[in-house]
Amino acid sequence: MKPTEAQEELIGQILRRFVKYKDTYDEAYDHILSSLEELPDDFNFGQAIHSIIENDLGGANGLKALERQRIWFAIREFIKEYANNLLKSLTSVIVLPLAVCTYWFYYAIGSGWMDQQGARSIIDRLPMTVFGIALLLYLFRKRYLKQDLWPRIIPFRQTMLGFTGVLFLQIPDLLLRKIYAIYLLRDISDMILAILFLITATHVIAVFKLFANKKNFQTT
Amino acid sequence: MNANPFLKGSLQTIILKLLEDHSEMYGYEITQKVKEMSGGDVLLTEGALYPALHKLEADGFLETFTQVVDNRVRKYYRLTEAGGKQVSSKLGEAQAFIEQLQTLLNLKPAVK
Repeated sequence: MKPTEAQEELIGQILRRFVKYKDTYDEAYDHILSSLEELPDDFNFGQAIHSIIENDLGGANGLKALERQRIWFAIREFIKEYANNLLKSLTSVIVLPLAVCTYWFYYAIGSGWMDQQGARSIIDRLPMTVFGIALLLYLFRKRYLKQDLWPRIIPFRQTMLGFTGVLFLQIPDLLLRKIYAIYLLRDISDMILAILFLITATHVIAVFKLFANKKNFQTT
Repeated sequence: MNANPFLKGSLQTIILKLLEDHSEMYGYEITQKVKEMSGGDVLLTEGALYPALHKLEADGFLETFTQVVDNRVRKYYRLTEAGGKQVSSKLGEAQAFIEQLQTLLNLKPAVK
């Protein structure tokens, strides 16, 4: 039997009552229609739908269980992807020079080699400048470069990760200057501080990339 | 699915073997193929099939792709490289289990 458009819409409505996740919906919807197509044309539509949903798909509970399992697997995949992103970010080519620079800044400020005001001025301006240049280069790369050369040398996301790491230079500075309650940070060595903020930066990017991948939690 | 617990325990092996033989299949197609091959004796309910498919996918043994068929999205499953290796391993396990059962229960293979 070939369902009419109205009947197909009705099937969709029934499924949406139990299923929100697009992947589960598509699979159940296709299954129901495939089953219906095997039935003779004069078969009672309501009876057929009831039978397929109750007997094949386990009724409302079966659909909900399917959805719960699918979401759990998606979350598992989500966490795996996050861990991969984090690892890739931490091992990307930009992280080592960035770590050296970050450490050097804090060491220079802490040991008095660098003028405090001057250093803070650099810390305040450098990240936004570098970030801005990177963004412009990315936006106009196709216009001014015949080839997509920039991302080929260093993948764009890793580059952005590096510059975002530079942005994080500002945070410990703000913490040390303005939030005096956080005495813990005052005693942390420059090296640990630099590592801490690199990890924070890579974490933020890994999370951002996960959420950018909308496929993971697409709903109907 | 057929209430037989032996079959329930072998569902993943059945799916992997079918996908090895047919390269890509969608859920409903798998149920119909099992029904056809078993002469209607084994009926997979989707309540058992889809969780097994999703588990195999999550474990990296299957991968999926979608196609639009008759204005609806159809999700196909196929073996990954790891899935291909898993088929032989699972078939080996099944073979060993059947042989052990035959020995333990003193069964003789059916002669047709």
